[in-house]
Amino acid sequence: MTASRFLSVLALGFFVAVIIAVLWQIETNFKEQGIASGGPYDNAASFPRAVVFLIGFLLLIQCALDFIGTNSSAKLKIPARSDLMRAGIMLFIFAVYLSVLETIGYHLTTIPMIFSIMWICGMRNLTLLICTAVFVSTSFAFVFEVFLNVVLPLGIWTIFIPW
Amino acid sequence: MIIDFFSAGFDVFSSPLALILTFTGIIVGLVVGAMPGLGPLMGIILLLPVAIGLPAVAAMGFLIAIFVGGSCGGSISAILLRIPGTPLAAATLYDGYPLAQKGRASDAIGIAITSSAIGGLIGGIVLVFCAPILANFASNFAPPEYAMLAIMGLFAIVVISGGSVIKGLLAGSFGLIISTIGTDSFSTGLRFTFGSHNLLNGFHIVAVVVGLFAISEMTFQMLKRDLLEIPKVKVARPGLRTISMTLKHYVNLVRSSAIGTFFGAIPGAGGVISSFTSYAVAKASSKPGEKYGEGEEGGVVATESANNATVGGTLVPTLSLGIPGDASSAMLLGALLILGFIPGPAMFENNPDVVGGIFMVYLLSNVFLLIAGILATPLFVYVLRIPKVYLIPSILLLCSIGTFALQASVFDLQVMFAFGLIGLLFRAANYPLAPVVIGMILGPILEANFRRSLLISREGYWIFLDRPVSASLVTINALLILAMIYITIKRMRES
Repeated sequence: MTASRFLSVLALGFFVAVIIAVLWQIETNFKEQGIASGGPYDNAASFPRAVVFLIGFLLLIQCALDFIGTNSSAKLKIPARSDLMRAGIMLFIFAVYLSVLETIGYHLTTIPMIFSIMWICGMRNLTLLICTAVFVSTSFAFVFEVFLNVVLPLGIWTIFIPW
Repeated sequence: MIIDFFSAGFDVFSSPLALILTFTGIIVGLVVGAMPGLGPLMGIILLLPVAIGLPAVAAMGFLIAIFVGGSCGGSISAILLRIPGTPLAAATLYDGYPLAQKGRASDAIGIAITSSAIGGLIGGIVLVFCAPILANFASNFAPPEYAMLAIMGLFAIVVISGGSVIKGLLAGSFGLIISTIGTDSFSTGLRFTFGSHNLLNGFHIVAVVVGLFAISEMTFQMLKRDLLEIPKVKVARPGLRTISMTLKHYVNLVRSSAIGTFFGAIPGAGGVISSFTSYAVAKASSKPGEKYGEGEEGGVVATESANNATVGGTLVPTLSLGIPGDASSAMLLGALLILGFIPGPAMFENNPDVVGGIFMVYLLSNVFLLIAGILATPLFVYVLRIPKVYLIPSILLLCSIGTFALQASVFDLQVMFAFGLIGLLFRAANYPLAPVVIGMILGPILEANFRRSLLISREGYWIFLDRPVSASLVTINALLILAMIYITIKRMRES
């Protein structure tokens, strides 16, 4: 299976999952709440049901188009493995950052996040890396905390800068 | 009537905060527009979390100015680097870059900025005159008309915006489904909340949009190998004489602005179509001796005046009907909804101060564009020299704390990341992202008005055909469906 065909199937699979989730919820949770049938006022399922039927219909057409080979994603340019790795690592670092942000706090997590992303971008000048990470993190915190009165996550150690 | 809007909006418009933010928005817009890969939509998305905490007109001034500045900023990188900062500036490459090659980069940028500002002002005049008339006409609309109008907005965007019609419809339908998550406004039942209190009001649109567009874009940028590269750009300093150079092309300027405004007012058409169309018209009407494509001033005038006039045009249906013309205006509409205003005839009736304020900030933003653009171009050229290695982590950080700031919620961050992955999948599989946003915004309008129509109807679905305006909209929707079938079959044959 080519990469473009794989992506196409993955996207179609995603829409199938959406259809299944919607219909499953309508058949279970909606029915329990008594909002799966009735007139326009009570029937909260009518609109999502109509939309998933539309999605299902469009999926069939898309599958047919893919089958007969009019898939526009066939022109997809596949990036090199190293480039994919770099993007994947960036996403992983970002996911880790978001998951520990509340626990560890903004200041202790943001500087390593910026440092690591710049590192995987290929920058190797340690002084520049550290200075940029500290500067970007602190300046964003300043703007959001001082001008916009946003309380950034303090973490379990309640670390903050008293501006 | 128009004077009433201006007098009602003057107080909120003339506040120092609104003026400062409109000017700041222009600077931000020019910067994000100039940077390849960002653009006005990304600028609006990134700063939406900041804007929604502000007073309505100041917030809209900020966002509209980003839209205006961003629509023009792409021309700077198109002229200097031969890389359009945004797709809107793609047509500017034809004559802007050759002008720069002839040693007239400063003139080309000055002409682009002046044309954008004048085009934007012409679009603004149309907005000021047409939006109240359209809103007045739409004040007689009832739920059936609004339901059909919402469907039309979604279909038009899918048909006109290019790409696969089926994929566009699938993306739009996905947006519609997302919009149903949360508490049903009719039955008060809980839909697709999976027992989570975080989902009682559905997903925050900003978290969804930041994820879909910004996170996926940054991931795609990471795939490139120019992350450490510093683009070689010469400093350009356009002078005031470029204003008179632009005004010499007054026929082209007015014609292209009219084309831009017209396409802007059609949902889905947008700046790209308008700039290419106006370029083609300008080229077709050129005098003997004018060599379009080889560095002709008129080419830059045509494309830039058209794509900024589009902004004014796109605000007409957005403000008067609540139907966004493109993804950027959908975000403006989303911002208005978050700020507590429902765009449409009711807003013109109940909040003339906000409407008047928006008219004025839009017109002012084009004046600021001219001033800031001419004076601060060296700054934007400097911005073009910033390597992506600094931009990517900064934008990711802005996405994170901007989204967190919405409701001080870590759940919003998770939503943002999840939609970032969905955005990646959609982009990789060539599914357009704009219909998802349009679907999310039009979904509640469509569902509520569809159900209301059936509630007031004595003949079921016939209510959509009983009313003349609604029946006309049903006909237009039917024609759009035929257009979608035609486009799909045509592309099948071509491939």
